[in-house]
Amino acid sequence: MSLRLRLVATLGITLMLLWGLTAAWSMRDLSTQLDRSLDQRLAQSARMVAGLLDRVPASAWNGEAGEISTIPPLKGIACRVSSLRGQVVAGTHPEMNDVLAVDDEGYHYRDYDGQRWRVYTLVDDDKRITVADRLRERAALLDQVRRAAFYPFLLASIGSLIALWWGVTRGLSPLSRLQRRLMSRDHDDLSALPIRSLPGEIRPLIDGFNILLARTRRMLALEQRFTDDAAHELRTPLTAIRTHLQIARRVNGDPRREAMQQAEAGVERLTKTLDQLLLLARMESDEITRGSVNPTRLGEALEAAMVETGSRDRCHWHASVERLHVALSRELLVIALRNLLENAMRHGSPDTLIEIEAHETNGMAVIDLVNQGETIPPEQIARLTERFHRGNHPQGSGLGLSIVEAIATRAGGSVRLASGDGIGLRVTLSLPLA
Amino acid sequence: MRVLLVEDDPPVAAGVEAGLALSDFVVDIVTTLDDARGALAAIDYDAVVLDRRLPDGDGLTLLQQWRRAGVATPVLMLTARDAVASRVEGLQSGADDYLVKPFDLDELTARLQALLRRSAGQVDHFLRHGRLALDPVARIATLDGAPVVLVRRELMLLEALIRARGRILSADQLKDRLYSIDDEIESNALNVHIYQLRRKLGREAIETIRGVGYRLGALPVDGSHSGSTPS
Repeated sequence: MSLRLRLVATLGITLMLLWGLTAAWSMRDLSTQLDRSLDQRLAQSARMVAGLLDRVPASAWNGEAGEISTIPPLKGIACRVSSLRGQVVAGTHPEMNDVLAVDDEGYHYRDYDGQRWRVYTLVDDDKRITVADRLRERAALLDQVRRAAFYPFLLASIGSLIALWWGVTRGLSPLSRLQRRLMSRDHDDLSALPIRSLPGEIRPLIDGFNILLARTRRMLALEQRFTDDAAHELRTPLTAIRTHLQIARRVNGDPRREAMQQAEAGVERLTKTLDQLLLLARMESDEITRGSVNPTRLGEALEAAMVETGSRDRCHWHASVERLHVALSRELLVIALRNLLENAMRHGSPDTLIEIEAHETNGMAVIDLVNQGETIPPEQIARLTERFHRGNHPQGSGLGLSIVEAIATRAGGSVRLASGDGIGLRVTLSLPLA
Repeated sequence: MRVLLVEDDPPVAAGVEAGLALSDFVVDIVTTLDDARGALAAIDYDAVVLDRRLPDGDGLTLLQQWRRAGVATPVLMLTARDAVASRVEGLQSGADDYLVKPFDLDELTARLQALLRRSAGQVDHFLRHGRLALDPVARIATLDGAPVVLVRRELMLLEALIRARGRILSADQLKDRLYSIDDEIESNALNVHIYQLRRKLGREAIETIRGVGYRLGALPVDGSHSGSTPS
């Protein structure tokens, strides 16, 4: 149900009900008042007749019995004057004599010929005066009054409903404008909605909406960049493979061998990038959960990682590394360490040692891995864990540090990177102790 | 034909270079936008193959700079992004053609040949000069319709001279067409190739303009010639 319809219906029905009740109440009051004043007039007219009769000599109706003065009748009004003994002296409707023969003083109802009459009897000294009103005349009068009051009421009601509709429409016009603006937007338009000229009630709503839009824009941009990066990382080795294979088909001897080698190197690189991408994806899904894992001895994992990367000759580690047990599966710990070692080998100055040290702090195993090399500026440091960010080094997939970070975060630990003072890069990996 | 390849991935660059060399393209490889700028300023390339994603920025920016500066060298863009919007963006920025990685080497070669043909205003892919015709794709030269056996550098030299359309090319300009920056050139290598061409096509085929350079001589269709035409 539209807001406008709901507002108009609620207000309109309430208004009509209130007005209807007021009208019914005043109509009821009106009919009581009218009855009372007509009754008073009836009594008044009886008294007036009595007053007039006082001036007529008593002999006029005490004398010869049977002489009835008949007054030409008026429609709906009757009058009868009689002696206390019941002899009619004067009257308007001789045929109604019986009906109007009321002994008791005061107001009564009488029926005659299917019509109801209001009767008033006044006893004055020696005569009885009875006056009567036909109720149909009274009802007609009340009807006329009611009708006269009803039409202005009807007009006013219709008028106020129209005014109500107009007012609500006007009041809701900022919403309508907003609706039109939203409808006319492209479905992929994520720009913020203008907040100016909006009423205070919907401003917080649009504010919230704009914040959501901004967040969506950022997410989409990130996703777009990731897609672009992934496309680049996967398609570049594919290009190398395809090109070298095509060359191999056309040449012979050494050039052919070389082209095949290049193609194989490309396959290897592509495989590695894919493996790392899949590992990251697995890390993001809940496939690898923290749960209960067998504690892994850091020394053992480091040994395995060094063997896999062939970096044992360049690593120098302190005995403290051996003892610590980490609450992380052996597989993931080896992957993390392997990535760090590969990174250090690739980016560290050749023939310098990679220093590895570990200690316990607040229930965490803190592993420091330091390689010598060029100092990396702080703004670059911040981007190192971004996916596919490779700095100035074209080798590698640019995913290594992202993977290490993902593993550490999963395990409830963290990765910190620092550079400077003759250190190429210091990676501090904190992992919960077993 | 000399091509500048701007590509930062060494395996891809090596592959493209080797592949284009099979079609007698002379390829220089640069890996950054800066180097590309320098190379294009120094050498008159016939075409540029430009990767979009380079360590020091987007290849598109460089292309726009070149086009604003009035550089008309045909440019073929390489990219990993296959979205229509990004292809349109590339073409609107002044690229003459666009290939999405991974591309087919034959397609790259054919597209480059087409770019060169278009920039030379050719109708079909044959280069013609009088009685001479050269098929740059099949790498065959004919004189009066009969094939002439030419070695690779001779063919490249002839192609450069035909494409010059009567302009005089200096020895250095000719060497640019024949050798990449990395090639070692013997001092008389060019003279040897010119001598061989004259031997096979006739003395009047190549004119020497003393102190300036070389150009193709008129080879009118009806004219007689004294050169030998191997069968």
